[in-house]
Amino acid sequence: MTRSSDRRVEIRRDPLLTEKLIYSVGPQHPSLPSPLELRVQADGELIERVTPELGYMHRGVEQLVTQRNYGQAAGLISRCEWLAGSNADWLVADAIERIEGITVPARSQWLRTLVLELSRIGNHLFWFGNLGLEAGAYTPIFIAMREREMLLDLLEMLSGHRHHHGWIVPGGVRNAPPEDFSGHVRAFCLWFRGRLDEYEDFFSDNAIWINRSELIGTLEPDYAFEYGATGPVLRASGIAHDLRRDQPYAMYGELDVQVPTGEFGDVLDRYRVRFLEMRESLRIIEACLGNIGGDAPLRDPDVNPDPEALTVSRGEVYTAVESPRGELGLTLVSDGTNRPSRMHLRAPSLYHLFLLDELCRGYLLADLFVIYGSLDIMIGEVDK
Amino acid sequence: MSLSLMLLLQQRYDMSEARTMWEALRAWLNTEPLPGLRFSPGASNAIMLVTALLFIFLLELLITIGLQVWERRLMARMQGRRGPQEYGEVTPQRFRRIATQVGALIGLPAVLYGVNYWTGGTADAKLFWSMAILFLALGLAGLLYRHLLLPVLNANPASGRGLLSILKFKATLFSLCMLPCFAAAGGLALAALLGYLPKAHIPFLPQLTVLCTFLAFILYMAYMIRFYWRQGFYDTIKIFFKEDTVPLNADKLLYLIAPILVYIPALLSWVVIPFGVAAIEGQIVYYMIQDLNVGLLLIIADFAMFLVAVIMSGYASNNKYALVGAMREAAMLLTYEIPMLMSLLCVAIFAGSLNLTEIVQRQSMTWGILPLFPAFVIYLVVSLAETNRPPFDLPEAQNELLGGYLVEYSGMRFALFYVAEYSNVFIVSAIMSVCFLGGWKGPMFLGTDGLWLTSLFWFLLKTYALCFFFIWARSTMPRIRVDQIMFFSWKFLLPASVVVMAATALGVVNRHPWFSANQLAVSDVDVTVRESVTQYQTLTTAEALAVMSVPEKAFFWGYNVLCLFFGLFILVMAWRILFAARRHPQPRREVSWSG
Repeated sequence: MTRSSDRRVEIRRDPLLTEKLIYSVGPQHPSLPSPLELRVQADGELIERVTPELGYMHRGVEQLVTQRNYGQAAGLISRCEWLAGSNADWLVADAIERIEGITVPARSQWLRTLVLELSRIGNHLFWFGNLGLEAGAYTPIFIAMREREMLLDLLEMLSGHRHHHGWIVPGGVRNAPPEDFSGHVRAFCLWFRGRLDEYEDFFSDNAIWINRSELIGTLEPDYAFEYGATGPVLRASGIAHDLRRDQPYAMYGELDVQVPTGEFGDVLDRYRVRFLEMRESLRIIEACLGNIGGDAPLRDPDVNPDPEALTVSRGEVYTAVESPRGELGLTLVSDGTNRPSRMHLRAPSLYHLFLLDELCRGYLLADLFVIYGSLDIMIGEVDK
Repeated sequence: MSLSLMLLLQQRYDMSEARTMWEALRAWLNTEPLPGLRFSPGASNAIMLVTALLFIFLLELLITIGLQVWERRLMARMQGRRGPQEYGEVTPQRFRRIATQVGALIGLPAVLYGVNYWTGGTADAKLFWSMAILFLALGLAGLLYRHLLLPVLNANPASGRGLLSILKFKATLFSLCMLPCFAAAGGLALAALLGYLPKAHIPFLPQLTVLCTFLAFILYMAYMIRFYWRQGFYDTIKIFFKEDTVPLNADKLLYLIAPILVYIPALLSWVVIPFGVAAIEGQIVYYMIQDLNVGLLLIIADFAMFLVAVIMSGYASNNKYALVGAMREAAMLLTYEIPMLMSLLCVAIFAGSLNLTEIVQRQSMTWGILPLFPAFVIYLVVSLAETNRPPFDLPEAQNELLGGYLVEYSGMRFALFYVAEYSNVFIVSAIMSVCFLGGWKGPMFLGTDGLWLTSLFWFLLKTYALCFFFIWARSTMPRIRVDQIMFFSWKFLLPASVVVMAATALGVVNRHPWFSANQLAVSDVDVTVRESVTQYQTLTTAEALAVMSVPEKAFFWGYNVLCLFFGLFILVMAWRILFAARRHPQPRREVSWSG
């Protein structure tokens, strides 16, 4: 198998001048969990063009945050990233810390790393279930949700919320973890490692799944680079780029983060890379667990503990985090008041969504959904 | 026209020779069923037609709802879901209660029958007493287990695994068997006391059996409807009252008649399925509406008609998704009808008949799955595609085409599609068990009198085992893509089915002992069937091998290699599913760590 060989069907010129079929997939469609419309131009089932139509979920978050204080702004930004909201919390906190020059205590950094990795697993679990549904398998969504429920319970135990934790605040974290937290996390890791094996037993080696995903939606590395793909999508194409390793933030510098890469950049590679990432996250979580105990302070005592009363001095900063979907970046411009002057979110899903046309041309209609699922696109990021 | 049809029926069937339950009922209607009540032949025919239609309709509805509810619960269990489906109102206590009640009701006459049959009517009081004491001891053991051991085990969390779990299972089993054991002991002691024992014929036993079975059935159905099927019935009733919509610019006539055309073949197929057999006054009577000589052909034709109606509905809906679903259905129709025909032709050639009851009777010694194994495998795969079940549910792919040809239908018309689909699952399973698994054949442990019950039991057991396979496949497999189905069918299934059919035909035409060995037309238990022509030697497989000539032996081993190939195929798939994946994590291809 060479890199250029994929199972694309050549789109031929049509001598009969038959009418093209235009499917309007979405905004209500069982395969699209959030409102998005895909205009699919096809010759029968053969896709010739995919045009994403945005705007069904536009909330104007970037404008709204300029009228809110920093605590409220963090909550709104987190609503763009609802499967792994801690990443957005971390971004806002980190931007403020950079402008103000606040140092975060080491124990808090370890805790932040732990929570970021827990939300990565949670997001990948949701992705796995969803991808199964898109491929027509009914069971993955249920078994993945079973474990995700345990994970949400852990995060609720820590922060009091299941989805939007608001637990990472400027200067540290909001509260100390309960006493038995690390025991519960350790038990979860033990349990979940077995369950990951179960998923792979059940789905990864399934002959139908291999046929559905192998050499489907192949993404060349130079294309991936040009389109601005990041995260698992870029890594599946063979480029080992991971912010956790290349620009270490939080405590990732102390950890030896392994970066899995794929070979062909097809659906199967994206699938495998995400599964290896889940195993790697488990390893990182277990490494964090040894450092989160003790009585060390969680927050710089100089920082105002109430984020809603926070005033940030004049400045401009860009900070980025390796979210489960790729590089999630935040540009913050502050003018010395308690409201951000400008906030912009660099959402990886937006870049991946516009890969869809390139990836789907020449494949069948059934492949569109599997490719869409493998990109792990979240509309909350696309339509801010 | 209907009058002429009835006259035709009248001429066609001789009343004195009733072969099916339907005809037996007609014969009964014609013999003055109540004093002074006589039906003209036309009236009895009309009554029979209406009865048959009602019977099929109700049976189909019941089995469909049952199958659908069973599928829901089974898939919830397979997917490890916890929720209302899992807990519901079905508590272990309720299940235990119904199991013991039904078990006691069935167990009492069954034990009496069994003793009566196995001892050949020569049992004396001593044997009965000893059996009564044995059952009493078993019941007492169950009592002890239930009230002394089980509470302790249930309270102990360690009893979930290891040796303790075996003990727990045993204790549960014994306590479940407690009431039936007491009932059996009581029945045996009663029989011994009444002094009926030395006789072969226990008085009132048939009446007792009918009464007990009827009570057990009523109890069971009440339980099922109350706790299991309730949601299914609610859904059915609800869907009756939903609005029947017709999309704008649809081809209205086709749109409206397509569900009916889907439903009719699903209804028709039930006419020829033999559910079982009963011995009435020394004559064999089949549980079926009509014992057609071309039953298999009717079933095949029904499936073709079903697919055409589906294509019609997809076309008439004036919806892109429905149209694509219909196109996929058309492609699958062309692709899968031929291997299905070929594999069923193997059965027809083997049995020498298209009559489903004769096909079953030919499998008296050996089930068809043994000599016709390749055909069975092909039909198993094809039947999934025939019924549009996952992983071949392309025409209605929920996640891609939003239900495909079903997308515009609502209310009763949608329900017709739905009923037809589930009824097709049952029909396909029934055909598989009739053609390959010996239909109602099995150890007839209740003797000639109980033939009606045991035959039904074996038939339903086999059919539901195959239905389980359908549900299992649904919860395991992703959906196959349309071009992959085409490749698989045209490049593998079609040539394979042609080769298999040719091999079977050659073997049968040349009177090859491998196929003729198992052609012993044995009737059920000791009732004589009508004379059937046996054109083959009646040899066992070993004897047949001994008398084969060299070319025959070559054919035999060649065919066995073919069987072996399919057997290996199945084994490898099963191995992959069950064990092979234990080697994880081990990426099949290069996914490198570049740290």
